[in-house]
Amino acid sequence: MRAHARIVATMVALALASCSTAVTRRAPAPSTERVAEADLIAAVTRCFHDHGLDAIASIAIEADGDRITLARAAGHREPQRATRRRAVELAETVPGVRIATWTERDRSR
Amino acid sequence: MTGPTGSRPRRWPWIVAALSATALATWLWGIPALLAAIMADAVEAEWGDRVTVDRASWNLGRRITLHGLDVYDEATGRPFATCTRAIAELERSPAGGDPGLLLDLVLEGCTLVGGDDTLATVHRVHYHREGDAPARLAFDGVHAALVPSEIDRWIGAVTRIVSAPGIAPDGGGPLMRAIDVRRTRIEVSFAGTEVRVPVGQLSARIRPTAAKALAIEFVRARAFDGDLTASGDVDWSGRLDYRVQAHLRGIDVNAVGTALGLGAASRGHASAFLALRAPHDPQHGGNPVGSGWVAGTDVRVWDAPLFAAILGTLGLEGTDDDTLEHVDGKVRFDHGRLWLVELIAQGQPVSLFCNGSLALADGALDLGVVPRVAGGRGVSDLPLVGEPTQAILDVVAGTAIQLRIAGRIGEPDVAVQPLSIITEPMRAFFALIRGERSGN
Repeated sequence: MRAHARIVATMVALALASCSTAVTRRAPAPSTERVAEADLIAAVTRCFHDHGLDAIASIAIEADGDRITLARAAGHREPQRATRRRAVELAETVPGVRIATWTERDRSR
Repeated sequence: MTGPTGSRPRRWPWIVAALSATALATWLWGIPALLAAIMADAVEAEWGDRVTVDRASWNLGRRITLHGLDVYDEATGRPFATCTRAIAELERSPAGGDPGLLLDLVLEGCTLVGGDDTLATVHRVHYHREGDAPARLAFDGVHAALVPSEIDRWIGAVTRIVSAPGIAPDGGGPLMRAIDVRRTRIEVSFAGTEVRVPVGQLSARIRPTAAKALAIEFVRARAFDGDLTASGDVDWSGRLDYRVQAHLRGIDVNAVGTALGLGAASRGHASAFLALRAPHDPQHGGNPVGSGWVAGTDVRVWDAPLFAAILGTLGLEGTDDDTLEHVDGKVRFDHGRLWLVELIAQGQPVSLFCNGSLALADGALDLGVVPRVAGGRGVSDLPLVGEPTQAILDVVAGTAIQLRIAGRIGEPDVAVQPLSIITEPMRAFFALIRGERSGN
């Protein structure tokens, strides 16, 4: 019974997901590299949001192709090491991100 | 000549009166006018822009008050900033180190102009500079209207402010320390649409990072009854470039509905993120490009014209209890349009899957929506759907519908279109499932 319920749930999800291949008016590919980089930054922050990393406002994110650089946002305190590590781990799970690194800013900023 | 009694008339009272009147006139009009001219020249020499002052007064101490201060744009010959009153306090710097000049300037009732329009009004501006140390500037009580496609006018106004004393023309001098903005209200609108996004209680720090670059930090505000945090930077050393990242939490969908015309009975909560960049391509019409996402819970928007039209086409009605339990999707600003990318809204009385866009120039919609009706609800007889309450069966049977939505948010035009079979792998998968169920 559980297996059938799981199959039904999967089919419903697939049915919804399969709509994406059929619905027209899909967004075209990003027109420029900076749009593609913004896509990546948005995806990383969404990953943070979904995993409860409540530090989006205090983390500055930059994208250069498939490389993501994380740093504390200017004026914010440097996050704890565990937070920095978690942010890098999550960022590297995002499709399209090849490598994520954390950069420490100088204290004057 | 002699009088009736033979005594000579006294002239000195008249002379004294004339001298007194002259002195009074000089004090009331002459000195202030002279002082106004002196101060205007001084400010011009310091700021490099043509300045006019209607009237000035001096308290015989450290304070000079200027009334009706206008700063002109050399290129256009028009004022780009006006001020009702400016109060300047000057004194020698406190003892210690090289003596310099301490200038504390308060401007009240200011207006910032860009082109032919008023960009902002400012209740109070405070400028403080001590000797050769970097200056500080604070804006309090700013009310402004911002159209993203016209952001270059704002950049022009801000660059003129930043190029105030504290930054050498060649970039070799000390930069202004910071520009603080407090108690600010901005209304963001998109040309050609009815969208109005009020952003209130905004505070931020603008910090010059180079002669022609700024960092925008500590942005805090309230938008859609939620908390907005943001940061960004601007660089105009070459082609204008900027980037902004903004995060919104605890958005009230009803507040969004009011701003976008979605209907007064909307409710729900959402979070959103946007990363925007300067377009660097004329095809975008000056609008920023970028990406973001939106995530909502318990959203009810069935009274909004767009969603009411969708329900009407499907022959459904939304009750007060019907909500979209989860709304998730990506957004993108590109090609001069706002794109919805794989927006999924799951709930009652219908789930929706959406792709499409809205033109930023005129708000024209171009959306494709695939509905999935919840089980047990009555629907009108739409022959293309077959058995619409059985979502899986209508996919297996090879038919599905798409709603094509054109028009505008407030006046949508909904049409039903058939879709071809979705994918061959899906057919094979369902055939496999059917086979397992029948024991084959």
